[in-house]
Amino acid sequence: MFSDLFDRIHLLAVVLVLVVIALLLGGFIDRGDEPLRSKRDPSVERAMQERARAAFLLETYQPVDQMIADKRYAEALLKLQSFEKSYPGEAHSMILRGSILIAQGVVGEGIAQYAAAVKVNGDYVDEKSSLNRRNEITLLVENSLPKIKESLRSVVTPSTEKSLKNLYYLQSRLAGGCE
Amino acid sequence: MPAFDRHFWLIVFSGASLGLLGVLLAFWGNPDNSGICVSCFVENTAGAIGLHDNTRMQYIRPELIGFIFGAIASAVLLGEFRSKGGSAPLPRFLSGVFLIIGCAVFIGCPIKLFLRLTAGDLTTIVGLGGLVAGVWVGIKSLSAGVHLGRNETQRGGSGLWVPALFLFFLLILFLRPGFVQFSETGSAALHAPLLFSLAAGLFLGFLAQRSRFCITASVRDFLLMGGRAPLAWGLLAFSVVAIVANMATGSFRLGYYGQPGSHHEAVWSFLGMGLVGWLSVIIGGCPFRQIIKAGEGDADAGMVVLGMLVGGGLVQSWDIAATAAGVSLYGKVAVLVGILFVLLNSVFYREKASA
Amino acid sequence: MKGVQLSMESYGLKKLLLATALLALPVLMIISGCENVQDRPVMRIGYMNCNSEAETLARFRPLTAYLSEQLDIDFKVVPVDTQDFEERFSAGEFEFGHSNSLLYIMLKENQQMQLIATEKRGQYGARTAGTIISRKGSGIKNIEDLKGKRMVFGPQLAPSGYLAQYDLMLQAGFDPEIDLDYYAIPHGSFKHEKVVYGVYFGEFDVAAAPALDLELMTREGRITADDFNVVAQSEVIPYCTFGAASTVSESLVQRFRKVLLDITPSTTVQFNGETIKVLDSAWISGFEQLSDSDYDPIRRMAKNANMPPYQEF
Repeated sequence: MFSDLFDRIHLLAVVLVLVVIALLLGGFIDRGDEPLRSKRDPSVERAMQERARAAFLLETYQPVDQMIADKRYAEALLKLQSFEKSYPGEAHSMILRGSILIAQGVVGEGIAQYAAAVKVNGDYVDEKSSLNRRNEITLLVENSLPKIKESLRSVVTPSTEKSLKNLYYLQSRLAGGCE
Repeated sequence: MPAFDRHFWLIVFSGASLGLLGVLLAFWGNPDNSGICVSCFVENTAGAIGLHDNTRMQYIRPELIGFIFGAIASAVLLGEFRSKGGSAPLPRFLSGVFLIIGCAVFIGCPIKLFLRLTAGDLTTIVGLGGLVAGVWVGIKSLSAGVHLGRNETQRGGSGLWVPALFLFFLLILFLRPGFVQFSETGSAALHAPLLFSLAAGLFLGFLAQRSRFCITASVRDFLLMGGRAPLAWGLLAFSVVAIVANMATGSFRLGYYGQPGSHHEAVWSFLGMGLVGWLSVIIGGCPFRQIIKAGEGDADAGMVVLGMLVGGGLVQSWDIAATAAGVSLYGKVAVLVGILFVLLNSVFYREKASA
Repeated sequence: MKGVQLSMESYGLKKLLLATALLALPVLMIISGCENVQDRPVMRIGYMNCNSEAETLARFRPLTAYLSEQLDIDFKVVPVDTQDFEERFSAGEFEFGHSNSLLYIMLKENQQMQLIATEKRGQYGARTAGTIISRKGSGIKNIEDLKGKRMVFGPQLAPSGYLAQYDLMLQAGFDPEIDLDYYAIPHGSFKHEKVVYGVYFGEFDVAAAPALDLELMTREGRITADDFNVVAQSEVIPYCTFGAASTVSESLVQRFRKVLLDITPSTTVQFNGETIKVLDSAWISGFEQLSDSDYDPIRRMAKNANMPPYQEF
């Protein structure tokens, strides 16, 4: 290899191209007129978008959070309905509805809403996320699982089985894994 | 019983190291029960380089880079690095895609299967059954004359390009240019310290190249030779060490429900791992082994690795990957298409013995 | 020749016998089928009219046809006005009843009705609640503000349209008979919607609105969440309920229950030549099995409000 002129020229060209690449990446060569948008780092942009989304959700749904804190559950549910018209399929509506239903003792439907929310957006079980609700969901699972299992020992109904399946799903998501 | 020679102990040591580091990497920060999972890591890496847009699954896993370069180092030291290939490249590429599909539907590669099993996850038992069944069918296929052809030494350094690709991954892992995505939430945001992961990958890649350790090959050899197969002992060492390590780190939770990264669709766990086992036997190794072989200069394995990367992107983009909620319709169809692929190749690539 | 004649005659006889058998077979099958239909027992399900008999029939005939199909019983739909329900049930006009949960309590206490299953509708599922609402901007935000105001209630036997709200006020130390300026109950049908519109258009200051109706009207865009204050909300109580007379065997009750619980949104029935989704046509999302003790909140409310079946004169 590299014994004749042809090979040596090619080797030289390889070295030259590598040097030019290094100079370009290192900023030693004028990159020309770059469009303004390319100065924005996409990964920073993405991180900002994610944070902005979480902040938007928390701010937009703040009235509902306040109603829940004031135990004005009926109003909160109606408000969530109006949000659903603006943001259909948004997991934040689901998780808030879940918390309202659980607070009112409507356990099966509440668990279903929590599971649906986590399926759409795993950030609710993510410690690093600003939407993190791990503690709340952990308590829900720990409190509800024994009761549901107990209820299934006496009578098996499709609703209770579905609640159990949802609880196992939440339990699995809390345990971690690749999702 | 096998011959308890140096090679035997090397295999046992490799298996034990894989089991130990598989648990420790999770303890150090990788997702639970996923200290080492080639399919998950490939999906994460595919996401980082833009092959899918699941923002929770984007990270260039240093372990994969370590495996390749550890294998390169071992192969070069032993004088085993040589470019070889040329055996059915496109079917191998597609095999890589379907390997990842099978793993994604099960949620884990064969290494992760055993890591989950040794952590007490009983949902893996069906997957193990599928893997064994798939390997068995693969053995039968091989004995019936199915083979993709020998790969041969090749001129021109074809075996260098996949290692070059991973060198590129290493560079962008450290330099972090804007086009590479790194998750801030989700499982890809969970990782052991970079240097730990890289060092573990290098060490395991080196050992695996030396010992030829492979999960599916271990199962295959056990089915063929029983207790005489050194690789089977390596798998046993893996399992024992992993169980002890899981117990020591508090990661052992025996149960069927509530396990991290698992679902309860037994049929699809079986079929997914069955597909992986079957394919692995035909192409000569599980996803981990393919990466190691690519590090030895095997361009055919390199094609599989490229297929795995593409598969890693597809399973996330096309909603093929299973989750704790279960297996999607597309995941089920994809596994069945994979089985169709292997069935057809078993016919097309079969050399019948002459009368 | 004679032998040939005889064989031809016997051949013709065989053909005649074969033709007769072929004709008789379908006739016999039809007759046997008719006999099966005639042998099917006939039972009646009384459905409480929410708004009108026509609406009740349209909603529940497909469900009833499905029940007939599954249980091999010829169920008849009997639409029943709310105020006549107990009387007609005790007269034996129907063996099964579908009514609101207060009526179930009344029939349970007075007629030993057996609980079968509870209907699911809306985000509370098999439960509902009663609310007291005022117009946004009215300044009426809590029960104390109701003093001297005009209130409109739903039907008197409506657990979430009258009873729950009456009980809410009593629990707050507010006597609707004394502390309100006056209260009314709209006449005619669609009372629950009328009470909401009554407040919305200012005819009344406050209304007793079921949470379910607020939800449905909001979803349909007829009202918005920002139109009203929810002054108070009751605890959740079971929603509409299927029950059976005490004379119905326990095994039939269990079978009936199982059929209801197993209905899914994709369950269909052939009805009047069409394939109809059973739950959709009945405007419900499913059934749940509750226990009788789940109805205790209604019992407490009824006792507190001196309502049937606990009224004292």
